[in-house]
Amino acid sequence: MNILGKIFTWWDGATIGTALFTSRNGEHVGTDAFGNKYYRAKAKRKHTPTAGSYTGTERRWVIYDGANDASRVPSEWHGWLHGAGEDVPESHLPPPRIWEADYSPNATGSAQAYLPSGALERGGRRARATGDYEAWTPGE
Amino acid sequence: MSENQTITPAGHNPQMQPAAQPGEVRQPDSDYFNALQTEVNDKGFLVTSTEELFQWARTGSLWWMTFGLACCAVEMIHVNMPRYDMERFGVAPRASPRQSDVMIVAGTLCNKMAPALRKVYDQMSNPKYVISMGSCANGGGYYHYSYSVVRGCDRIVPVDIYVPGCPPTAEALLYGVMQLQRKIRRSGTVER
Repeated sequence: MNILGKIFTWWDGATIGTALFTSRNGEHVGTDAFGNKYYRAKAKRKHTPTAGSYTGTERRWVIYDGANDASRVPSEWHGWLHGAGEDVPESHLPPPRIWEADYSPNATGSAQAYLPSGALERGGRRARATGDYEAWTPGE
Repeated sequence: MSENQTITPAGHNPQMQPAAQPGEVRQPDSDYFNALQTEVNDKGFLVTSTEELFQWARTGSLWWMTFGLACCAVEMIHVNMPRYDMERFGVAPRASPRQSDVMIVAGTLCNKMAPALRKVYDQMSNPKYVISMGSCANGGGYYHYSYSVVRGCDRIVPVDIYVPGCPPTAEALLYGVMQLQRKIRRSGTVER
């Protein structure tokens, strides 16, 4: 993202204000598989009003690598962002099971979006179901 | 920048793009702004279609018509309060349908309210968008089998974004608004 895009748009990564705040007050703690970077307030600023959260817990935030879509945060880091664990997810979560599927963000609007067979985008035709009814018209 | 290459956001013409990979998130605007930067660097002036400029402006000023019908309206108020602060996205409440761009249908739509909803929607100026918020507005929800409730506000007005929940959290509605912005950026002008 170049400088013009940074000034005029807000939907990709950090805005100028967030980047500035992060460079001054943020401590980088980890990066997930999508490249999103996770920050928390620096230790010396934890108890200042600007760096603390409303609830008195540690302030944590994410800067997305690309589109600012909250569904791009994978589940383990979602827990970390919401204060479910003290430390980064790698340190206390069990290793992923063999049956666990990879996390995928919301695909709505992309080519990968799920469309059921009856969706209008797929022609609006589907097989007859038992719940279907025949509409009554008053003229007959 | 060659002359046959026009400034078009990626995602504007899906046929020209390779198929997306699973888990890939399309960023519709980076190419557009890179092209914009090249244009400024090479020529010193901008040649762009007004449509993209309009889309950019529309996403930044989505004034919403307050149509709070039930408990969802409380969450709709929360989004506008300082904690979630929807105005940082340019999304501001308007009391008049003539001045609003998006209608957030928040709550149960009764049969009695349905003509009023349609009238307000008709009074809004184009381009207009509708966010259906909560189970009741999406499909009747808890009152689906009631004798007096419309089974989804999409039977009355065309809906752009459905926000699930009963009621959805303020974060969920905020996410819905951001999805609407993404939809406007992606699909451009409204043709229904």
